[in-house]
Amino acid sequence: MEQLELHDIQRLIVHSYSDLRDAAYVLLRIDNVERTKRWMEQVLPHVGRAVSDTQHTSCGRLALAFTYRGLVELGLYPSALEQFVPEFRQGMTAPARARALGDLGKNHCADWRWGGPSGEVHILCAIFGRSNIRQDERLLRAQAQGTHWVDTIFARLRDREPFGFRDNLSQPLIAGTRRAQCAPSQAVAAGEFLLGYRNQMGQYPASPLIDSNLDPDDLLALGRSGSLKDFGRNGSYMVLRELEQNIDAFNQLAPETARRMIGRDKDGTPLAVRQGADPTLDFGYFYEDPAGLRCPIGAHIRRAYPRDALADVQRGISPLDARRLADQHRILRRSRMLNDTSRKPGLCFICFNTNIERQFEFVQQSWLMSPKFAGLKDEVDPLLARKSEGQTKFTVDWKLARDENVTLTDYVRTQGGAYFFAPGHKALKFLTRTLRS
Amino acid sequence: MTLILGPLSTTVTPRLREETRLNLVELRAALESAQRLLPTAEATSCEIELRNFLRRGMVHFLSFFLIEPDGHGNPGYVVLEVNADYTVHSLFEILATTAPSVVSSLFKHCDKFDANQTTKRCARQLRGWAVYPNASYIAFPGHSVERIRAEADLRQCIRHQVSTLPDDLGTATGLWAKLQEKLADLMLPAVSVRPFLVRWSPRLGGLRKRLGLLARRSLAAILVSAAGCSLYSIASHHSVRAALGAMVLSMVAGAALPGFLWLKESPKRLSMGGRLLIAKSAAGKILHAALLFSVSLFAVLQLLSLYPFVTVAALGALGVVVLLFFGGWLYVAGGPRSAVSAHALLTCAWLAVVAFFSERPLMLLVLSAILVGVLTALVLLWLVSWLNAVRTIELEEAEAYDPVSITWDLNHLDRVQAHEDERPQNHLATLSRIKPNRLYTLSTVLRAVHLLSKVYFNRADLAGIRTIHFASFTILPDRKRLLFLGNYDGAFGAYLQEFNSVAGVTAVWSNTQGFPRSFFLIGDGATDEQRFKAFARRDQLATLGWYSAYPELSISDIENGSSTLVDFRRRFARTPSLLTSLCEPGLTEADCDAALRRL
Repeated sequence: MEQLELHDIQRLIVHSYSDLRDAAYVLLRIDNVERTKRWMEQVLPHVGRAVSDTQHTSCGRLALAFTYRGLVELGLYPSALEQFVPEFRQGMTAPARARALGDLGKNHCADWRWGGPSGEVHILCAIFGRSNIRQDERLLRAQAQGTHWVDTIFARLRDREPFGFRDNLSQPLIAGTRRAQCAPSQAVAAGEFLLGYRNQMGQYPASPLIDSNLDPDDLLALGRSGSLKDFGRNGSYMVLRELEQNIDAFNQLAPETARRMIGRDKDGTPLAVRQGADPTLDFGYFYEDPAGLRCPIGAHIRRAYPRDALADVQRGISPLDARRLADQHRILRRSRMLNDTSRKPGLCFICFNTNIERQFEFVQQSWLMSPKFAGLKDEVDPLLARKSEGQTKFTVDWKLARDENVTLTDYVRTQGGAYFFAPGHKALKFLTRTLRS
Repeated sequence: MTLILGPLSTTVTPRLREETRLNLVELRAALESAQRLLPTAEATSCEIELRNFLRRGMVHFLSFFLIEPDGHGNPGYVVLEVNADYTVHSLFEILATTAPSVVSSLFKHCDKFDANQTTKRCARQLRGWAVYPNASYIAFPGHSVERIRAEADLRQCIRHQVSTLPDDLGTATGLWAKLQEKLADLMLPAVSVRPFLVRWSPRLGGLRKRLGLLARRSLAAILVSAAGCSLYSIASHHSVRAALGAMVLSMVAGAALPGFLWLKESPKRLSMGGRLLIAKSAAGKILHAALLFSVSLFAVLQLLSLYPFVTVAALGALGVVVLLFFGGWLYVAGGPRSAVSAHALLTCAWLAVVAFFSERPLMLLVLSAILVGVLTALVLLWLVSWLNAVRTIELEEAEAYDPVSITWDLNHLDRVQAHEDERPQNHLATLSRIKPNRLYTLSTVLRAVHLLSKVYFNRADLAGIRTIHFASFTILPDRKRLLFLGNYDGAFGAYLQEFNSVAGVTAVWSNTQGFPRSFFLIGDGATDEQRFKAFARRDQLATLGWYSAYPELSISDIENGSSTLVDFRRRFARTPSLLTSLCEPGLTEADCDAALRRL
């Protein structure tokens, strides 16, 4: 088991700041590089560290992340820039990415509040607090010299998400943390969420490396090869998406249908297991509900994390194999519910991973939005379905091969999004230096 | 699967190359509009021709793209990939006669192409440019486009009927019975599907190649008859007769058994014409085998007259080796149980025959056993030395290998991803440079892959990968580059993720440059997931045009359609009015449930 360098990792990745219920995600664009770097230097001591030291929690309430364009503006060396994963470099609004994520039609980036062609974002600064979040946000914006403010998303960690269901129940636990030691079946290799550690396949994810003579102050840690410095170590790719949820349309669904679309009861009990079970416990689908009689095969949580549901014993994929394969596509969520009167209710979706294409985009494209998931015929995830493309089908009653007599409508709409990189502390310090090419 | 490679020599100017690329882009636009339901008013001739060509419903997948001449002196190509139900000979004729502007648009700037030539010459030129893949995989060999579409439509129709049935039916058996009644009431139109044409690609090329083949076959025929005469003349010795008889038996069994298994397993529901086609080509292959046999027999007969006892023992040993080999083949084709039992049976029969007819059976057996051991040791020795040579090369390459950083070229990615994920299916074309001295290893591995995909992986499953419709590996005529083409379901990343666990992928691609390090040809390599995907992206070519006959059907859709309805089709052809009894008597609840879920 590899030791996690908790002192270097940003706190938001490992802990969810659950004691600080309010959050403000401030999105900025760089105007003046030098002044931005001075501001970053100023703000650096307040960026949270993952080490759970009581001295630090009171001041480590910030998280910093950058888009690719932001890193380019900050002057990061091209040799390092080419080593970031291509999805991050293309950005969420690139046509290929938009097709992969289903950001077409009503979700198209031209209609986004931020992040689209007119609202380019370079820096995300997330503040977490208990009560004075708006004051904190205003202070931050005033201090952020050299940047142009794009938007702020206010969010709050609530018990239930806007449709009334408990959320964030099945979270992977990072191997090497204390919580993972208590529940090893839910532990996922650290390299799935943090660069510089082994991932589920035992390999090290690609991390941007810099030549040693480009780091004269010796700020960065050495990479595995010995001669190159690892810029990406202890960092992670962060996906941020602002999703608007249509509560009225959702409430028009019968409660039974709504439960089956999600795959859990409102209190979080998974439909696949027997009644009264603890919603936080681990479960599977292969033995409990293989035919999708209790939890439909196309239900949201079953699509988002199939566990052992994709087993195919005739072809030699046992439930254990299926679980292991599904664990190659986990994401670490840190979502919060929107808490802004100027916005409709919805979710500020945030997740961390180290390989955007294999993890976040895979879940979105090959599980949620795939019309052929698990042998289904031309239906997508009921929450993300787009009516304009005719994705209105949802099979509820599998036993008799019928389609439920409900026409799906649009429940979720993308209002903004971007791919960020949340560097480790050493890398952040490196970025505050003036980088000469 | 046919590839037409129109050569673009290195002397072609960049301006002409650019023009070719623009032509292909225009052709793409024509292809897109040809797929729309109604023709536009100002349809170009290319569009009209494409529409007519595709409307015949014989093409599964079609793609075209450009290979640029590279900096190492290798020529470029305009590549047209066609996966169709035509026999190979007719494809070129049809292209030349029905789609001349398309052909011209594609190959205008290729070497020796003349836009004003006759269709016959054009067809001949296309045939000369045709290259057959070294290894190809077809998910459903023998299923024509018409059959796939017909099954999908019928399945849709039945599904619709299910949804109109009343709610309160309880069990699946009840529902199935009700469905049967419902379908009996309707007058479903007859779906007359032509018997499928077998996609057969004999390795024919230009005139020289065909003459060579003819010469070889006639020589084989002469030698076989000579051998037959010699056999008759020395058939007086019992032991010789017995050993020779066993030899002939194993040879015939060796040719016939895999042939029978392949016919049984692979293209389903062949018409007589289809079977004849296969038999003709199989006969050619058997003739080649017979040639080898007769030449060795001729030499053996000479030896027999000199040293009869030893020669008989050697023949016996060879017979055992042949049996072992075909035992292995049976294992691959039919699974362990059939292999072991068949192999054991054949060996016992041979031993009994030899023992019965021979004068000194025990010594004969002992000598044959020794000879078998020697032969096996020689084979193993060869295998070990070959793998050792491969490993030495791998270690040398490993020194110059960068194990740590991976980079991506965004401009190149934008070009190749331009039309990705527009449909649920995707196309992949990659061109890799073969490492020096690895050509022999590569072609051997490809031959093995091709054999496996014909004999074993011939039903929607390539070693666990279940998303490929058509795939092929081709070594280009310049023998320096390997072209991979794939038509598959789902996203690029998800598709390559499945290659992770397949040893054959590493065995093929470790012979090309830039591939992640391999271990003894089949280890590591593709398991380095991120590096492997970066390698595929780097070598990917932009597919300029692509057509799919059934873009909304995945492999599992086609398989479900086929397995659910394959029994009904037999009755369907006889009773043109409707499906009579869907349900055989005695179907359990589970069977009906499974059948309904497959709908």
